[in-house]
Amino acid sequence: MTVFKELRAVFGTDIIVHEEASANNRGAIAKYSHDQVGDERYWQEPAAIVFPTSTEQVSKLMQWANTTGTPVTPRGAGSGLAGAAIPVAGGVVCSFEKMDRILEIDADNLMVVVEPGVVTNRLDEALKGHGLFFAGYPMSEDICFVGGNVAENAGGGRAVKYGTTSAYVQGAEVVTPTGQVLNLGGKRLKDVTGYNLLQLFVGSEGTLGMFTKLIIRVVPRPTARGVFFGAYPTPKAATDCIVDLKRRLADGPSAIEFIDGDTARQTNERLPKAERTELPANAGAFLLVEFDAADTATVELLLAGAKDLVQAHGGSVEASGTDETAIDRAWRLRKQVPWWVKRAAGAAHSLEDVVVPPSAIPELVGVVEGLRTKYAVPIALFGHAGDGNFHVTPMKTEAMNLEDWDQTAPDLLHELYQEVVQLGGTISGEHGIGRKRTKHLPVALSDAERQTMRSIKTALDPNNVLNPGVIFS
Amino acid sequence: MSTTTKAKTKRAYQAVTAEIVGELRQIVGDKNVIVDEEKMEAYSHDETNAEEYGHMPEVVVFPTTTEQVAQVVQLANRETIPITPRGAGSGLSGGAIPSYGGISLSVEKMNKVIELDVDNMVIVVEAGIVTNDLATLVQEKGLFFAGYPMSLQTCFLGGNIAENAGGGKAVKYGVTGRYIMGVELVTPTGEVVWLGGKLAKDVSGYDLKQLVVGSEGTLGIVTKAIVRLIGYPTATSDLLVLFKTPREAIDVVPVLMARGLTPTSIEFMDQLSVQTSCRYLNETLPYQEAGAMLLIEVDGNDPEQVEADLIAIGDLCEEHGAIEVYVAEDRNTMERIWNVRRNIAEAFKVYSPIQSLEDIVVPMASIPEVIPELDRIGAAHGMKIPCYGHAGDGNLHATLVKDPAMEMDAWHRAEERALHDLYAVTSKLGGKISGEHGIGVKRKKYLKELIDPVELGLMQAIKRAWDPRAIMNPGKIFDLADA
Repeated sequence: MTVFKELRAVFGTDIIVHEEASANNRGAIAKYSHDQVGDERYWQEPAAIVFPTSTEQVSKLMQWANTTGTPVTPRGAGSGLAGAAIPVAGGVVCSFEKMDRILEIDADNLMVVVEPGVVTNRLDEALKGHGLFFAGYPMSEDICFVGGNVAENAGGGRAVKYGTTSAYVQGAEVVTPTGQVLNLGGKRLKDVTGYNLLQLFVGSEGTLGMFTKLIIRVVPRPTARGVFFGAYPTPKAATDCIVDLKRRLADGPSAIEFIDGDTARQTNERLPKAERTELPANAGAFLLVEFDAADTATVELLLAGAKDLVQAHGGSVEASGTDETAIDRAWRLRKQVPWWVKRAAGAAHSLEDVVVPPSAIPELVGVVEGLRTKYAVPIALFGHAGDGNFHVTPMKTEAMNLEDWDQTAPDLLHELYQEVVQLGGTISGEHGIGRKRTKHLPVALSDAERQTMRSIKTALDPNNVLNPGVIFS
Repeated sequence: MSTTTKAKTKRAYQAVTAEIVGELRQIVGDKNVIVDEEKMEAYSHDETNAEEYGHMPEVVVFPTTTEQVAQVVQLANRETIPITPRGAGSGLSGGAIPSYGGISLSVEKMNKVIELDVDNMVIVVEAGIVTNDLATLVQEKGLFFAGYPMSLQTCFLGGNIAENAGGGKAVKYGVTGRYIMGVELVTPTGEVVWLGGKLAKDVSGYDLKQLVVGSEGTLGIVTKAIVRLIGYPTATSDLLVLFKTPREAIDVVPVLMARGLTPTSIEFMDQLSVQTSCRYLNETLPYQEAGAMLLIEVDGNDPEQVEADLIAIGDLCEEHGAIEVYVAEDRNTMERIWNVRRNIAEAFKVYSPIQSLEDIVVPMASIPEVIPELDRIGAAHGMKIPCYGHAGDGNLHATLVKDPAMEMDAWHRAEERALHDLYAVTSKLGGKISGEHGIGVKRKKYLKELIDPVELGLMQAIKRAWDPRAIMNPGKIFDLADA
């Protein structure tokens, strides 16, 4: 196609044009039509996909996009959960999978410089040898890209101690929507020279610019860890315990993950026998509690203190350990929960990401129980309880037909969001608004706030060519 | 100066007329408006040199509610009158100076605690609360506000937010911005908007609150804030480590940081800084003849761990050339030493009033390279450049001090050239010209020379989008006409 002639000159063979794609390539294109949002109605194939290997190419892409008025959608690993990488308006997908170099590990400054396409776990592997640790990683670290983590401001299992991705982003090379290249931040721990544009780009879901390089702060690697599962008679007992775990322990856990009783047991049963955890059949909820420290003795001491609190809340302690097998096994169960949901409900589920102030966690559990009854659908409840961030996941029952689900789900979600906002919370803690939640954003943000955000989008992207339709519809 | 005048004629702000004053009186009440020149003088400057940077406001208002702030801003926007928000006036870059006259809006009467929420470990306060009052209040509940600057006894939280203040504990705890979970903002057009909330995580749209933090009052007026608190560390211990030369002291800093010992503070003081502060406080430290000192603090919740870390740090310092390592035996000694550190800036102001307090920041590993450059620049321009600061962050308060023998004209030329050199060195090392004090009016022309024009363009675009009439703290950080 002639419209892509200029792009072809920039990208050479690193471009796939939809209309010219061979049968073989069609499959490759389909991959770029979606992320991990299961509902196919959000999916959209792009007109072309480019695979830049340099900042200059990305800059030229945006210059071209502005001239031709073509939408561009940046893409990391496609592991997002809100549809931010879906090219809803067609146009060009800019995939960063070929910009995957770790450029520098600067142990003196405790910083690394990477390209956006580095898989999070690969960075962690590289850091291990230096005794360093990238603390701001999400649960999908096996597949997700660092660039995507930064674009979404990802959270993850250890944010309760370490904070989210943004706390570790110290600098970035960014290509703006008009194709300008700018360098923000640097290997400095403080900087008040003008507006904090860096943190404005972090979490902006690819609507304000594309990262082509990132400077990430790393920390000395904790050398000892330990975990256990607390099994509680009721979800309420578990959530009451969370408040104590956070408040009563001076050196708090590195993770407090919640899984409701049925969800935990059903996920566990799908695991290979050797990887299962012994879970009491009558427990209403489980907490995965983790500590890390410089040595095992300290971890043991911290675990003991937490176990006392579990017991004080009527819970029992299961599967405790400080060895790698025990830690991996515990996390494997937790990480498998969304995959079990996917298998159980197919596309007819909605993985949500609400967040409330920690003191409102018990009330949120009450809200979810109320919704289960009112809408007569199962709702898996799990997530990063220590942050108040819960992946409330309503699922279609087998008996329910798809039309009924389609009518039920939006009402249920709307009510969930309203309740969460009532509790002082918001509709997404780590997954983002993307395309999936744009229509619900007014529940969480006032007109004035949305207006103010939109004014920034307009100021930076006057032609609305970069990831249009994300965050704002 | 010439740029200011040029921009002023270009923008043509309206004067504050008797009618406007009348309208302001109606909004905030008679007793909350001053127009008396003598009384307004205090609002014409901050802690920067008043003669050089000061500018009188045409009226000062003291609103007591957010609604009043919004009405004043709406009025200013409607009439195109510049409005400059003001905290305690303890700033070090001129952010609170009403450079274009107009309205100075002081938040000093908005100092209420709205809510201390112990369960969520947050406090909700008005912007005019004195940072120290906030810190004391939460400490009574075993909680800690970690994001405060060195001037905590006078500064306001609102000012800390506007400047994204740093302070002595930022090496472990980070700067003010890290503790701001939400703000109530009056936008430049007078709308009231809450950004953020009591949430550990939030990705519903852009992180506007962190855009507001550190924007030096140019994007709106923060009227309330939700501040994150942490458990008050139960064990604290300090070391005072003496070195023959500043270079030797600074060389140890990256070594300590890379070991993962994470001290709460690593404060650096050279000999002149210590001696000047001791003289000002009428204090004697037995070891003030040392070439340089590091004041190192460790805190935590396990006294044994704190002790062990302190010993490890002391040993490392000795291995790297420390001549003496003193452990502060009691709270009183500790406080005396910290007091010396905290009063350095004030002491220099008293004894060497003609000076320029700088705030450069470089990557941690590059700190050792800064010290010889300071000596070189000082010698080249005929001045002393004593240095102290938050060495663990790479944030150093190099202070250009005028030789009493130097004529004022010569000083002004020398100061400008020395700052150029200093900032050039800082940039070359991957650093920036301000780590915690801000650009304000004082560093505007230097920022203009150093900043990437693309970055400046984006900042200007945001400023224009939020403040179409350019009434909110004009003349700070950058001029809209700059390119």
